[in-house]
Amino acid sequence: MTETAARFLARDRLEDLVHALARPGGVEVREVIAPTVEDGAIVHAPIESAAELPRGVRDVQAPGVYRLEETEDELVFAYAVGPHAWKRRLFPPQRTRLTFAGDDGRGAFDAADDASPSRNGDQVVFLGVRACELAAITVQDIVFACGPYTDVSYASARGKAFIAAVQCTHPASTCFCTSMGTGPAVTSGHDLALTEIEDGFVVVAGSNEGVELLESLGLPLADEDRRSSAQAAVRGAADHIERNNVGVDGSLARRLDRFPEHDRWDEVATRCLACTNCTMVCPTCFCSRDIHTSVLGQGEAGAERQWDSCFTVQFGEVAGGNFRRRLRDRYRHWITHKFSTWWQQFDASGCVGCGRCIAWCPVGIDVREEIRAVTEGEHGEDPREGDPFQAREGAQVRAETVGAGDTPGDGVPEPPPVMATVTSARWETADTVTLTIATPPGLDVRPGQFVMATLPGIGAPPISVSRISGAHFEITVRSVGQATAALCALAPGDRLGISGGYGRGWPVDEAEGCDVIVVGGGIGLAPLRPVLDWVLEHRDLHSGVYVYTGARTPDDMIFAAEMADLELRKDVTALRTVDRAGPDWLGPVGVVTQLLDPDAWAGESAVAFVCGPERMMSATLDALLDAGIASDRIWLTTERHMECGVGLCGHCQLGPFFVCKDGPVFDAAQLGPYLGIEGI
Amino acid sequence: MNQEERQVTAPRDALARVRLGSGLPETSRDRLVGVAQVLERRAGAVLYREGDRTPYLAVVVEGRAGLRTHVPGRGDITLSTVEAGDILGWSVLVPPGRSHATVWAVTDVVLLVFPGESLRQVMAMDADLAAAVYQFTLAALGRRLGATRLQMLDLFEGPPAFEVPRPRGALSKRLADVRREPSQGEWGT
Amino acid sequence: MSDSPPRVGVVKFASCDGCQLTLLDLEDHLLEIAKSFDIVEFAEASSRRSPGPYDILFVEGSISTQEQANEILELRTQTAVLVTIGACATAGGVQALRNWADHDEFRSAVYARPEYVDSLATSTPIADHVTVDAELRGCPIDGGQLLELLSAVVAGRRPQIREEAVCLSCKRRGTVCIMAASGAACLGPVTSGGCGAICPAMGRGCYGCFGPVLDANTESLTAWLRASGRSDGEIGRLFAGFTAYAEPFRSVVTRSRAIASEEDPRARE
Repeated sequence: MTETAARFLARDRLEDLVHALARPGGVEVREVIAPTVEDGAIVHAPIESAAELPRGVRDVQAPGVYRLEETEDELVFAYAVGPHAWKRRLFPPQRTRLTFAGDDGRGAFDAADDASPSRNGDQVVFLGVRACELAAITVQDIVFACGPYTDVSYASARGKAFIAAVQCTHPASTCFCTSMGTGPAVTSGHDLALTEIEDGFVVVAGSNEGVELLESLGLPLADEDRRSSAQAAVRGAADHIERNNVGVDGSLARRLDRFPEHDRWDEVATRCLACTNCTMVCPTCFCSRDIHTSVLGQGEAGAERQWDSCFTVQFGEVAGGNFRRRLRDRYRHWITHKFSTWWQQFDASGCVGCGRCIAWCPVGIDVREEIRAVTEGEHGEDPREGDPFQAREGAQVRAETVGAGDTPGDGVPEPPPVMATVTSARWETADTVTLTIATPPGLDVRPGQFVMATLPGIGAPPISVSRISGAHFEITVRSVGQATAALCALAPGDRLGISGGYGRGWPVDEAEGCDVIVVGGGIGLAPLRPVLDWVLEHRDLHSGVYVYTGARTPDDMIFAAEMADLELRKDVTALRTVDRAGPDWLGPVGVVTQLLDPDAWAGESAVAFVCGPERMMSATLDALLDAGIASDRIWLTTERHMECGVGLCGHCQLGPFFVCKDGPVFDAAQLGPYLGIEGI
Repeated sequence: MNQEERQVTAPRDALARVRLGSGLPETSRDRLVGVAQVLERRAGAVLYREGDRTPYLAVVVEGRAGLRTHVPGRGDITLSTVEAGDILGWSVLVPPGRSHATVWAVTDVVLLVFPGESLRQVMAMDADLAAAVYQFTLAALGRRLGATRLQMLDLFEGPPAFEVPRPRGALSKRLADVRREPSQGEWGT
Repeated sequence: MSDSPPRVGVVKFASCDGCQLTLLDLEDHLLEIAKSFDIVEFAEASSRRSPGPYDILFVEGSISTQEQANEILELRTQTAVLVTIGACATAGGVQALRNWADHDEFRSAVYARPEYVDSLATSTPIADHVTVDAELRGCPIDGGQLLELLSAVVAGRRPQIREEAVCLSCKRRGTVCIMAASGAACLGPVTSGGCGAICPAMGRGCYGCFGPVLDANTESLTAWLRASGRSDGEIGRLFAGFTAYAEPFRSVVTRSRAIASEEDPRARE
């Protein structure tokens, strides 16, 4: 980029700038989205002329309060952020994610990834982006375009956006960007940056495109006086924000994850309405859900992707349970994620200090106060690795690879489901079916991974793969809701959409040369079956093989015949227990932990694979640790609500993890601290 | 059972195998061995009967015993099984010395048994021995209690059957509220 | 469902018929609906009348007379899936405001011959009388939700009707929050969405047509409204709308009335 000096744009030439933004090179190709006054607030809307900018308008913001006041002056950017965040344009509130066309026998899914930030689908200008908002865009760049899977809709919209930033000179009482290290000065990520002063604007370019645009305007250089009054205005904003600081900083807030049982969560739950406004106005909140639609008997179906919020009751729900049923769990999850666990996930803070969640909370809950209450007594830097804000710069570099061009990050586009055919369906128990499915071309699935099994217009539950063999794979499905019931009803020849295999699988290689311990409970045996297949296929590579499984009753055992065969093998110790049985059952009755026989294992060199209900896993984990097996040699797999399977929808979070991409298989050193925390 | 296996099931060997009293002085261990017997029972045999006087404390050396109960309409239900290394008949140690469950031999079993009367005698004269027996028994009961609690959670039970969204509020609640609220004329115009 | 299309009935009790008309308003889909369902009882649409049994029965209106109370019991026995539609059927409707009033006094004031009017002292939701399998809320119900329910029945899946506050709809459509931006009172944060947040988009606070959202924290909202200078009488009136009789709105109304009448007996007039 060519270095350019600061230029001066006289106030009466603002129209020229808007014109040039909309028509670089004289041809209209870009929509200019800018602040305008609507319904008593400053919102983002397309503008045709600089006259539509809010002239002489000031905002007053406080917890639960946002008001506009009129003044006689000519300033057009003399206010802080309003209710709209730029994410509306990059991550639209609702878009079509999948379409399904054709009848059941021949239909197929198609990804609909062409959401655009502008009405005409072309380039767009974001005028008036503040430093905190640029930081927020960077944060969403990391979420949507720097992971293993990319939200192509976001990345393509992002590549079309020209950013004309504005330095913040009139912050609100709700602003705390200085606490989060994001503002008020715009320092990177912009194409242009304007600072409003009395008689106009000091403008600098931040990209080659910005330089070209600036040159096309033929502006004079900004003189010394104007440059220093521009600097003073931003410095003044910083001082103003600091004076309001309630003693919270990003480093302190980062410790929220250490207080999952703090009394404050109960207290704030008495005030919080769970109305989701904080998450909706937040410029970084990225959660979405897929609504699988169909209209009556018509062949067309699809999925709509829609903004969702972790404050809704159904957000953490799976068939038969809800991981965050209580409001305290949901509030704790949101704020802890935003300020704390986001670092572990994305190497950045999820909060940029814009204060929207404070002003737009209908009952005025102030996150700064909540953080202060929870971290009371904590001081100084977070002792965890280095300076958290150093990491932010690293994140910025990653994100720049997205913003710089129109290419999305290195990630794979989130794929649409591929249609696959069921070749056999076998009932395991009264409510559980194993489907054998012909592996569609291009589908790669490993032990421990899951697939999203999509039925057009019905749903897409995540299902663990229970066998991988040649040209087929199997899934074992328990009928616990309508989508799984519909899967259980499939017959040979029926088709379903498959995407995956997703997630981290079992590290079967690590067990080579070791004793292998497999502990499964109930349907939890299904994801373990590919481990057994692998170990038995490579029996000579392993020392002892110990398989312990539990079920409710003998009739509830899945893979019963296979497990009975396993018990007869001389080179495997296999034991099954049930919670209760009739007199015909001659095996053990009790819980699976009673089967474990630590004396038989070479404790230190054994590797364990465990799956079952969470409570069973924690009891098993205790027993395995007692037997001297190191926690990083014990592997567990867990369940959470999943909508996308690829780390984009936000539903499956468990502490700092996305179960879909960081798991579902974890080692006990990672997962152990979170087992048994209610509502995490 | 061949000669060699019989050797293993001599009381002294059985005691070592189940690791009861391993930390005891030689004299105490001899006393314990002195009152112990090895019993073999066929699958299907009833070892204890609920409510009966408990004949002996037993440690399972081989095989599997099951605690069963009869539930009218559901037949005999096995509630839990006791495997090698675990105890049976702990009620012999505490008054009134009656069995709490009926115990069957699920498979052929080998038990190391300590008849109640003689066990109580040696425990009364040898505090070290008594402590070892109590500790062994308590450890086994603790494991069993923990497992029973997990079992009570019914972890593998399916989630409730599919439910469509149901309206909230019930008739009884409504009536209670109406009664509490005297009629007051038109509201709020 | 079996091969023959489900037998569907639409009936009403104390209500304005607006909700059942929503079915007729699904103009683009009426042919498909007629193909997928055998509508055997729907007085607003057809003179064809049939008794049960019904595979699906849509019930509009609240129970306001003894005759209705008897009839819903009978209908339930003839119905496999009973779906209540609208604020009257699901919450007692605006007519449930009489549950706080003197019914006889009302009757004498309005009717010349009150003895001819055979109504109960209360207006109550259908679920207070019989088991309800599903409900569509609103005054009137939302056509999109009705179509979704019908489509779900056809597809054999769960209706995608989410339990979430009106605020999500406001935010998705980009409406500026009128509570924060103008200080208006709005029931949106404690009310089920589904209407598409029509009122706030028109600059009015939400009236709560769709009734309380699951876990509605009315305590906190009323505390905020009180702190921002509203009297208990005002707060009570805010909740005393189409779904006043649904908890926890009902408790707010009851409590506000008690407080307001203590402070100023005229406040309840």
